[in-house]
Amino acid sequence: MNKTHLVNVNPFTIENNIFHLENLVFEVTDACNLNCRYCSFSEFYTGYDERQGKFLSFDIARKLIDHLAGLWKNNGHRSFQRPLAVGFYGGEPLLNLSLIREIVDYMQNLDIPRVLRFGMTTNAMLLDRSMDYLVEKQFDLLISLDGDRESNGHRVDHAGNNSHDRVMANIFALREKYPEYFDRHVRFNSVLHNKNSVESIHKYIYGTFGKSPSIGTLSPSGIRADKREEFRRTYKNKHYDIRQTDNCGQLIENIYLEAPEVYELGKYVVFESGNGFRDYNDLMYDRNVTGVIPTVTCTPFTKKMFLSVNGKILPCEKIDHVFAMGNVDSAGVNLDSVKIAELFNGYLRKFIGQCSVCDAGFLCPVCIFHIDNVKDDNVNCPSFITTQSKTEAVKEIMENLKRRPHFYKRILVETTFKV
Amino acid sequence: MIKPHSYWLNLNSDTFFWIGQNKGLIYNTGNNRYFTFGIDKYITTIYKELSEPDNLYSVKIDGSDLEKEHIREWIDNIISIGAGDLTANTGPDSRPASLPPILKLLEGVDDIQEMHSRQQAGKIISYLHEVTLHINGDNSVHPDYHKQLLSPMRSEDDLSVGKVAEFINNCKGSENLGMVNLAGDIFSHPEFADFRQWIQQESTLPVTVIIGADSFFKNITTVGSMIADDILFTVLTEYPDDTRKITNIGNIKWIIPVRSERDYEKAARISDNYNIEKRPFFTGNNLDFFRRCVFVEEDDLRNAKLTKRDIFARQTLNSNFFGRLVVLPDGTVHANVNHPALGRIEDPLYDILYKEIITGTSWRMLRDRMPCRDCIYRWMCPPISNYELVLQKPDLCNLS
Repeated sequence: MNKTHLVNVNPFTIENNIFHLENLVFEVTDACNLNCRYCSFSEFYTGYDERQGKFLSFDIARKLIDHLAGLWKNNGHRSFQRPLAVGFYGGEPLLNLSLIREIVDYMQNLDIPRVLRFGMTTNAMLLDRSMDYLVEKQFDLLISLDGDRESNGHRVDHAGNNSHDRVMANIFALREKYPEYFDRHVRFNSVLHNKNSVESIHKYIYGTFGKSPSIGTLSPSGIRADKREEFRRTYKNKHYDIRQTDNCGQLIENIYLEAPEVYELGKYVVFESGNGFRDYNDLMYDRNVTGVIPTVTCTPFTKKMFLSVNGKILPCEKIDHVFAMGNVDSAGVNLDSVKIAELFNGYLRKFIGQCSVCDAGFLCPVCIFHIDNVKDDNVNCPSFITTQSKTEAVKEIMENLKRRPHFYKRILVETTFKV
Repeated sequence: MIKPHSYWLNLNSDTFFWIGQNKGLIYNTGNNRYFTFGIDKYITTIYKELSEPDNLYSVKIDGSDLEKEHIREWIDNIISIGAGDLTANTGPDSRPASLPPILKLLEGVDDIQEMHSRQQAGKIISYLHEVTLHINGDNSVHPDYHKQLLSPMRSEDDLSVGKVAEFINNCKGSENLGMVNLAGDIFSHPEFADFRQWIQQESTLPVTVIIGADSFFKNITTVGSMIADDILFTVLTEYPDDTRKITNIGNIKWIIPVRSERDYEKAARISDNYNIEKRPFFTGNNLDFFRRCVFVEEDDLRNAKLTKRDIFARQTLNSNFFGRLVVLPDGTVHANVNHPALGRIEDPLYDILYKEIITGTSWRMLRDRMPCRDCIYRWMCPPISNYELVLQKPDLCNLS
C-alpha cells in the first residue's frame, strides 16, 4: 500500500456512493423455515439482532425507496440508466413473498433513471409455490445447497430433518418447467464444512445441474466463546481441503476462481502486477496519488445498501448490526453522510498506523467490521503482513502459475473482479 | 565446468518488447532504459515465443546460439539494461516465470457495449472530466487558434445561459468533472449578467472564462470585479506583438501562441514573472520551426520517464482528448473540434458519450495509422494531439 497517501473518507464520497448505488437489499424477514447449524443467526454467533420472526413493513421499505428515488431523480443526467440490483434477504425471503411483490411493483412503477434487476438468496424450500412469480419477474436466484444428502446434513428444518430432498425436488421442478430461465438466472452457493468437501460439492452440483457453485467457508468472526470448540470441529479451510483431494490439479481446473490459489493469482494480476486497471479512469489517473483508504473495507454503500428487518441501514448484510449507519422509522429516513463519514473514519483511524507499515496490498483480507474487538481503543489488525511474507506469498503465486501457465491468459481474457 | 546445453531468457514484468518492419526495441519501464536493434528470423522467433502468455515471458536459448556474436550481444544488451536475465536450464523446474505486460482492463469498450445492450449506462459518465463551451464567438482572435489551443473561436452564434446551465447540470453526474471552461467574448454576450451570476452560483465547479486579449483589456474594470469574486480567467494574448501589459492580478493564466523561436524567446523572458503557458501554433508556413522545436526527438524519448501505466494508456486511449467535450456556439457537441460533431447540446448526454466511447474517434485515437503503426517507438511517443490533426501528419517526429 502506498504509505504516504492513506486518506479518510469524506461525506461527499458517501453521498456519491448513495447516488451511484448499484445494489439495494431488503431483509424482508428474519424468520426462516430452516435451522441450519452454521447460519450467521445460529447459536454459533453473536452480534446480530435477536431473531424474532419479524417481517419488514412495506411502509419502512417504501420510505427508503422514496428517499433514494428523490436523490436519483433530482440530480440531472436523466439520460443515464444505471443498473440497480434489488435483492431480498432473510431469514428465508420467500416467507415474505407478499412484501417482495409489493416492493417490486412499487419500484417498477417509479419513474427513476435505473434499470432494475431483482434477485434473492433462497433455501428453495418454498420455490415450488413461488417459481411462477420469480420467473415472471426474471429474478436472479442464488440457491443455497451444500451438495448431496449427506453433505447437506447441516441444512435442517426446525425438527432436525435434512432439507435436501425437498429442496432438490423443487429445483428439478423449476428446471423442468422453466429450462431457459434456469439456465440464465439460477446459480448455486455452497458452504464448506465438516460434512462435505470442495470436490464433493462441485461434483454433485456441476454433475447434476451443469453449474459451478460458489463455495464459501464458515465465518470465523463473532463466534460465541462457549461455541468455539464446536465451531472448530465444523469449520474447514478451503485451500487445505482442495490440497487433500486426490486429483487436486483437475479439481482446480474445474473450479477455477473458486480455488483460493487461482483467486489469489487473479487478484495479483489485477491489483498488484501493474497490468490490471479497473477502467479508463484508473488507467488515466494513479489512485496511489489520489489516495487510498486503509484496509480493504468498502467505503459505505460502494457495494450495496442493506435495510434490516428492524429498519437499520448498513453497508452490507455480512456485518454486525451494531455498525448500523442509519435507520428508517415512522418519522422517516436517517442517513447523515457527515455522521457516517465520522463513524467510519473513527474506525479507520485505528489502523492507519499499522496500514502505513503493512505490505499486504492485494493480499489484505480485512474488513474492519469483521475484527471482533474493533470497538476497542487499542485494536490490532489480525492480518498484518511483512515485506518478507509478501515476497514469499508472491513467490508462491508464481510457482503455482508455473504449474498452470495457461491461467494467466484465462485471467486476462475471462476474469472480472467486482470492485 | 560443463556448460549447460541451453539457457532460459526471461524478461522482467516491467519490460516491453516491440518489433517493427526492420527494427526492434526493448524498453524497461523499471529504469527507463532501452535499446534498439535490427531484427532477423531468429529474433522474430524469440519475439513470438515471448509474446505467447503461456510462456510466462521466458524462452529457451540454445547454448550454441550464444556463440553467435550478434545473438550474444543482443542478450547482453537485454541484461545490461536490467530488462531480463539469462539462467542455465537445469531441468523443467528451472524455467523462470514473470508476467508479460499485457493490459487487463476490468471495464473496457466491450463491457460498455454489453451494458448498453441491456439498457444500462454503467459508469461512462464518470469518464467526463472537462467541458468547454464556446458561449459565443470572438472575432478578434485568430480564426484557427481554437483548433490547436484552448481559445475562443470566431462565430456569429451564441449559446443561451439556460442551455449551458442545463448541459452542465447533466455533466455534474460525473464525479470526475474537474474543469468547466466558458470560451468566447463573454462581455458582449447578450446574457452576460446571467452568465456572471451562474458562474458565481456554481461554487462547486471550477469555471474558467477563456477570452481574447482584446475583450480582456476593453473590459478590464469588469474583469477586476469578477476576479474579486474569485472568477478564473485564461487570456489569449498576441504577446510580444500585443504590447498591452500582462498582469498577475487574480492569477490570470496567459496563453501565448508561439510561431517561431523569436516568439518563444520573448515569451520565455517573462515566463518567470507571470502565469504563462507558451503553446506552439502552426500557421501553415512555419513547418521548419515545428521540425526544429516541436517534433519529437530521440532525446525526448530517452528522457521520458514512462511507467508501465503510461505505456498501457498510450496503447488504449488518447490522454490529450479523453474525457473532454467541446460545445460550439452553434450548439454542436464534439469530443474534439477537429473531429465531426457527436450531437447537439440538447441531446441526451449518455448518447453523446456512448457514441464517442464506442467509435473512439477522439478519446481512443491511437497511433495506429502509418507510419506510426510500424514504428518501434510507437508506444513511447506522446499521444496524437491537435497538431497532428491540423498538420494532417501523424508522425511529428525526427525519429529514424
